[in-house]
Amino acid sequence: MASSSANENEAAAARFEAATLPFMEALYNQALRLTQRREDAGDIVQETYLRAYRTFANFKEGTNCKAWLFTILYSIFVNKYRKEQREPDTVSIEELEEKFHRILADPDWETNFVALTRSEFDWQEPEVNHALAKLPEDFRSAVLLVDVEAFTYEEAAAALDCPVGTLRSRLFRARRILFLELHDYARRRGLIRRPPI
Amino acid sequence: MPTSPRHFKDEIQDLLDNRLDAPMRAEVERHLESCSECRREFEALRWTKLFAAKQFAAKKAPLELRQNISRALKADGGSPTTITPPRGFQTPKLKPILVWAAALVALGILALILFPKQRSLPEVVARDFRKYQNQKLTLEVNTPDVKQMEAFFAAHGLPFKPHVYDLSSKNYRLVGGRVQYLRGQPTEWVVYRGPNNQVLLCQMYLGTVSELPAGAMERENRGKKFHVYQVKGTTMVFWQDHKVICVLISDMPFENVVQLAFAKAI
Repeated sequence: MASSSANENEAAAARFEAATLPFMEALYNQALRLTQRREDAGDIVQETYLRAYRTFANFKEGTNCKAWLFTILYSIFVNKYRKEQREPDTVSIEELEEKFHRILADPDWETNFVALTRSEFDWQEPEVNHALAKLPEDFRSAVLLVDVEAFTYEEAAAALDCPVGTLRSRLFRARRILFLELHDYARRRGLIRRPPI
Repeated sequence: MPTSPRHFKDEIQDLLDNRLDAPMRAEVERHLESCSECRREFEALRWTKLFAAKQFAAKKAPLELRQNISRALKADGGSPTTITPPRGFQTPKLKPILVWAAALVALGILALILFPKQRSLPEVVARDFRKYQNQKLTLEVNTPDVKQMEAFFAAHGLPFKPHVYDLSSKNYRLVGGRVQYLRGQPTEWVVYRGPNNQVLLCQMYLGTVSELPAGAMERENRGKKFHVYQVKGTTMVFWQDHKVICVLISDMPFENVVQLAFAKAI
């Protein structure tokens, strides 16, 4: 009797692992990008799995397991880790738009853009990560979920516990900030020779 | 008094994230053709999105993380409550068999996840072709203009000089294209339609034919070697053009695809 119960538990655990473990690396990546500390990222992912395991009953088969796991991960991050983070300064949307459009209006835009998108350019990982880290965490999460993990707006909004309109607006700003950071980095590395006006 | 033209803001974001219905999409795309301000904005944001997807994608998690998770789940004691089958669902005799069968299936699934079957390069190329045919892969640019198509690829940082074949003399009209990733590498991916509306795809990427798997049918024309594969009715003809591999892909009759490749490879 005890042995059959143990077998059931093992089978259930195997089902849980089969459903959730394929997303471990994506979850770890997300946690690492949020906390920027490997140890914290590992802890968040481990806790995500524990909480998911205990509440597997809430998960409906056939629904999006990945989105469900990310929702748990964000909830843990927000409750336990967010307070410790120092947020980068945010710029006003007007200032952001002005900077962004000043670059787009540069007479050398075509040349600069081709140079920027040249795939052989060696983007240094620390600099690129730094550019991402310059985004406020809410904005960073929007980019990571929609652009990196290919979540729909609705899935990303659910994971971040915010309205879809808010998610859209964060994404709108986040991509502009990221572009400006990368553009600035490319200019410092001499990829774009002429500084913006 | 002239009114300033309407620029798109939210719609550019929606176009980028594939959230527009067909009429609105067509309207925004038409606008982008004539408005350099919006086009630049779209290009910059699209590049940023693609850059993020590539640069910030998941890398390997620490090896011990999986073990730590398994250990933590075991230490948590027991199982996730409601996925255990309800009592009385199986007869006592069948129950252990079903439990073991479920465990074996789960292990099988886990094994497939942990050690997924590595598709060969022609299989991946054929899969992308089928995805397009099943409308699961859309074009980033729709244009019958070869120069415009080349300009699109030039602006998207391919690691080689883009070249788009003009197949109009063969009665294949250019439909459009996209930057398609193949094994993590950006490739030029161009779609044509033939006289009977058949789809012909031309893909180009940086590589050498020595990377192709065994099993190709080798053909030769005017001293040039062609490597032909067939996967589930899809014919692919690969050949080397300097540092670039060109592939013609179609589900047209085998020899038609080969002859087109012969004609264009010269």
